[in-house]
Amino acid sequence: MSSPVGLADCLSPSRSGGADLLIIGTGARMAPLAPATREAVNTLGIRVEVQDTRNAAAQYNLLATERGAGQVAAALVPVGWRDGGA
Amino acid sequence: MAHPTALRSFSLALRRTSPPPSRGSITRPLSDYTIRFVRSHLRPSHPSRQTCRFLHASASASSPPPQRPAASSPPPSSSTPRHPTTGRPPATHNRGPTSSETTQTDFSVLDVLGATPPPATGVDSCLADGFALNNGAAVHGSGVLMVGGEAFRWAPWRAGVGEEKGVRGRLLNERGQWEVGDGAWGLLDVVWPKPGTFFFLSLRPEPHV
Repeated sequence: MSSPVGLADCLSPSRSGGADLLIIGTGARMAPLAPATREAVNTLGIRVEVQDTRNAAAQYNLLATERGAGQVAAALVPVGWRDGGA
Repeated sequence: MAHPTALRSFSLALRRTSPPPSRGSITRPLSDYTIRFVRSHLRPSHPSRQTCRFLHASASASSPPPQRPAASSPPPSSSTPRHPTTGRPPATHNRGPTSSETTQTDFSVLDVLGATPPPATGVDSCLADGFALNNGAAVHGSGVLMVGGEAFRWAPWRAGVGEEKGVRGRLLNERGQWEVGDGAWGLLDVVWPKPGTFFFLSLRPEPHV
């Protein structure tokens, strides 16, 4: 899935990862975001929205359709993830 | 303020002295207005027969109880509010004749995104171990990080929570908070600063107060 071409597209100004909103899906259940993680993302100039994965995916679909995929980013964890499963 | 016991006595007295409901009439409970009226005239001593007759006369002197409505006609409007504990379901759900107004809401017009195609990297379904995207691609065994219209495999648990502690394979810290290592945001870190971000530097002196 990850390819150098895709990464270069993200770096180019025309296809900027100019996302100003990051939607995090924390798995089957929503978990509060640690302050350090929130600060790390905010330092990048990106706002954070935390939900469970299903709702996060639905919100990403809606916002990406409405505002464009370049405006919104999403980081989704599988709904079946359990700690210690790596 | 009237004693509650006395007020209950009045309610019982009203039921004994009120005439039996006639055919076609509806037995109404005591309205809020009537209760307030009774309280304002109630004396702290024993209720008298004159007060009972007064209540009976005032109840019968009010507007006659509405007739039971037909099944096809809309229910009659009531000017007195019903007591919340004695509410009954409406006799009919008929809202009257179909409106011919031109200002009615057309919900099909409100679907502004109906013709907009979803993104190719949108999530079609969430699987137990991954995701299925709109473009037909399926991701198994990892999460996804979608940036700039591209989708990447993403495994933040490999970055470790508190990596110096060597805790990997976990996304929740000891406080139950979702936490990942700084390496999980490597792609976003590469992209920042966002192209198109402008920094404005004002050289005007501050106004003197």
